[in-house]
Amino acid sequence: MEAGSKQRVAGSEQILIRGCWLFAIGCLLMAGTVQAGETEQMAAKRRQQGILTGMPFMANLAPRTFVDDLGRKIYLAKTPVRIVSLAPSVTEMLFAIGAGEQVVGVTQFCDYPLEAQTRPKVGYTHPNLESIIALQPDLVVASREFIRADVLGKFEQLKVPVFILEARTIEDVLSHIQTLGRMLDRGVAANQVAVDMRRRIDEIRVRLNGVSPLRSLYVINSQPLITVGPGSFIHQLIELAGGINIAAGATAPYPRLNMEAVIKEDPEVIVFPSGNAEGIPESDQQLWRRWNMLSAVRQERMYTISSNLLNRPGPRIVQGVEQLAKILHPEVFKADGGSR
Amino acid sequence: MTAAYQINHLKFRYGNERRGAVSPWVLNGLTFEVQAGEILGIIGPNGSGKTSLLKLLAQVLRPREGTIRLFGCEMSAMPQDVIALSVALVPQDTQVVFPFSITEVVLMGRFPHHQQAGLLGGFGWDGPEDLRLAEQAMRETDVLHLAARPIGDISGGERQRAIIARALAQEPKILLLDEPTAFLDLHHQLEIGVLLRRLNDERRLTVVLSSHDLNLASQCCDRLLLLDEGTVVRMGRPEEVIRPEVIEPVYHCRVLVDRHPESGMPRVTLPGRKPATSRQ
Amino acid sequence: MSRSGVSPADLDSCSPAAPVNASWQAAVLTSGRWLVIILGLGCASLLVLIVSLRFGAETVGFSEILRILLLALQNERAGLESAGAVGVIMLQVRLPRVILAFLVGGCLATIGAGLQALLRNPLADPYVLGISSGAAFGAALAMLLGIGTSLFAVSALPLCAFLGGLLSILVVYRITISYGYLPVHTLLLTGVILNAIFSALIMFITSMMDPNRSFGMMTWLMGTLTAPDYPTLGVLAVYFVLGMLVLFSQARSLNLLTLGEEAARALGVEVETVKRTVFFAAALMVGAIVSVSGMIGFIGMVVPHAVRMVHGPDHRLLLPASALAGGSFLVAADTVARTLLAPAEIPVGVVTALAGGPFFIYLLVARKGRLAV
Repeated sequence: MEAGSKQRVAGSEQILIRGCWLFAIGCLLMAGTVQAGETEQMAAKRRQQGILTGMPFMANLAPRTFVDDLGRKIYLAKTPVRIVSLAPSVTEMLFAIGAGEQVVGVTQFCDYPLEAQTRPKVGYTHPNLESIIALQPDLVVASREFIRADVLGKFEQLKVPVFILEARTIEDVLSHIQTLGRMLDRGVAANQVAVDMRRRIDEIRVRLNGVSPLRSLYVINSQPLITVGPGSFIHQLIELAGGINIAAGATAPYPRLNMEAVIKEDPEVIVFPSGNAEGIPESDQQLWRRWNMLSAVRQERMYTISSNLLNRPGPRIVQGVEQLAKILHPEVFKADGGSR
Repeated sequence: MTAAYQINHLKFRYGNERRGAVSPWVLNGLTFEVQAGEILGIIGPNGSGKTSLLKLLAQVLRPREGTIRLFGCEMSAMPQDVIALSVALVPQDTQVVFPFSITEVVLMGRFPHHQQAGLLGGFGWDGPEDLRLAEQAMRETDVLHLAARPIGDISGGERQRAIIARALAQEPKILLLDEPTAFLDLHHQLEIGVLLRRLNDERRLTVVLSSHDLNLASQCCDRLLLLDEGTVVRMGRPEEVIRPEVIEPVYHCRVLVDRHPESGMPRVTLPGRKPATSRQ
Repeated sequence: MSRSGVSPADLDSCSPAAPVNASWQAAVLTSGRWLVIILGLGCASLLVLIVSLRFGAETVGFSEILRILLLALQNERAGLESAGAVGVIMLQVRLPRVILAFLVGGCLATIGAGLQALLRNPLADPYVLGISSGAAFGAALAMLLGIGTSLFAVSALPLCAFLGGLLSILVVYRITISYGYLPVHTLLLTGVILNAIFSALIMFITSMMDPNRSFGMMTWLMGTLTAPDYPTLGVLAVYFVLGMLVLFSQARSLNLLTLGEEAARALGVEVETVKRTVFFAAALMVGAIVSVSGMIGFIGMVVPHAVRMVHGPDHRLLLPASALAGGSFLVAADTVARTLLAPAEIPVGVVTALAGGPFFIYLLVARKGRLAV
């Protein structure tokens, strides 16, 4: 008698377990269909708005469609009036092409030109979504390096047009300036800026023609020693300015370098990027005096350069290259009256 | 003959006065003496303060009020290692974190004897005398066959005997034991009792032990100290302390007290269930 | 007074004859055995040091190493000049760095073993007290504020980190000390909380900083061994060796302490003094280590366990053996870190964890027992 009741209990337990499984599977199915339905709806909405994602590239782009560096297509029904910039380089570019008045939101690091500092700050690596939405932007321009996937997703969900830039070469920077010019109906100004930049770059190239490049070390951080390697933007700028990066044999764009390698390569010039506030490079230079077997130290060729000029893939990049070139090859640029 | 211990108005409780929320007095004004060379048993219900009293006698805890004199000297003025040369404590349980062998644990009892020697006192290697004493102690407590085993690998009873061996290796004049037979089987209970008697006879070792087992206390001890809620209820020979009129108010239950058939010492038995046939 | 009760006669008939194994004496740690093991480990460490001098941006042959070292000892300027870049690399970069790695690794392992005993917790490591995150916070603050003034051509960064560490020591001590007692569970808890607070502050600083500069800070935190100059190395060596000697001196007391504070006190250990000594020695050393090399993990927790598995838990042997083993291990790990992807370096903490982890699992599986009870 007791065994039987146990069996009955087991039977009802089994039914309960099966029921639970069915319920769980049912929930998952429902969730799936709801999600799918939602995507359909959202896709439809987005098509209405004009932001298409994941569609194959079409040879004929409508005149007001732009492709950003992530391959995303942005369709701008009308010329954007209110723009939020999520990178200092972007801010500089916008002001350079004359769209400074239209910039309604910037990052806390946007310090050039001075007027940029008066605009509302919305954050940089952790942008404040509420502030951005409150500014009612027609366009948000950000850098691929620091845009987070979830923030981007949120912008897309809220149907805010976001344009992502990623500069790998100087040509990319020039192309960005021109693209921004077209987007904001300031093509003429943008082209002027680009042409001017290209002219100055070419001039540097010409002057350095035949001048043998100097072995250079760019010290982002001293302890531990971090420098730039191939694949990084600054690496190209060094080569452009007539230097050979001694870390050219590294595999990463920002490698930690072994001091032994530095001694082996014996740089002739050491460059310390400095921010706005401070003296870290001063004490860094003191530390480096210890290595008095390096040519750069023996010949007192250690310089600082404003890091903003080289870090920001924007219009001032040319200024950065010019400064770098003057540092590396002062004899070539003596006529400019530039000094160490 | 100086008393081993002279306790005077001893008061103790846990907690910090300044932080408020102190516990009630665990020991509330004890005054008594422990004679040198006697075996004293401390009995009493849970929470009566037996363990705390033993810890105070080893200066593991310090009194709040009152004094304790060890062979006539004020204990609070003595450094810990000097006390450890005279007093050995066998606590109720032992924390086991790392796998020390039984031998290593027993040899730890030689620590107070090494403090005087050596510059940093840090290394104190064990000499042949230490090893001999350790071996003897392990033999006496029947753990010698476990000497190489890690202390975590043995049973509770074996561990207790190992700790007793450690206390013996200290060569103390006073041995304090907190529930020494709690985990021991019959054979070893008897053995420990015999051992304590022998040491007491041969070396005039003063023994103070606390026990839940009233019968063991009655068999082994010269005198008993009955504690209740931190105060002395009765102190004296087993016949004087183990009496129903003394025991029952303290333990709040009915007990039967008769005489042990062989030794004649008082024996406590709990009341039993009446047999079914008693109805007739 | 005739005492009735138990008598030996009762036992005789039932006493089992327990077989006595005389070899139990072999398990006891003697000074002879200690010397043999320490000398063995010392020779092995020396070997590791010498081999590690061979590798780096350039592999240098042993004869060349010997020649350069001899030239240096004899202060032969001309000879050293002829050695060229290799000589400079060997004497100014590799040798001091290897020595520093040995010191840091040795200290981390010793501190770890000491704290595991003090806190009676096999999971303790040098960073559990909260001092390390305080030092890291000091460094982060220095980097944020751009504190760059160097003192006697020494970077101010390690100094600020050390001050941060000192601050943590004071905070932890003040919170934990209670009427002259240092309860270990409070110590542990305070350390955990301080770690959490400082980590949060560091994250906050990172978020405030220019991303181009916070990169440098994150890398520093990951652990780095930069070659010091000889005066600095000398100061560090004296500091660390003194600290380790202080810990060694507490070895016997730590043995007793692991059986419980009350048991230790009953055996004559001045428990509060020992705890305070170990705490301050460990904390001051950790502060210095983090200031100099960031947070290199894994060594402080695992090396003591490995040594304990092989040589037993007696701290008289465990502490110095851990020092030698930990030092050698970090030297080896650092050699891999600076050689594998030359000219770039891998953060040494990555190598210690990736190399040590599987080795430790092997020990666990093979030995199955002498880890902890």
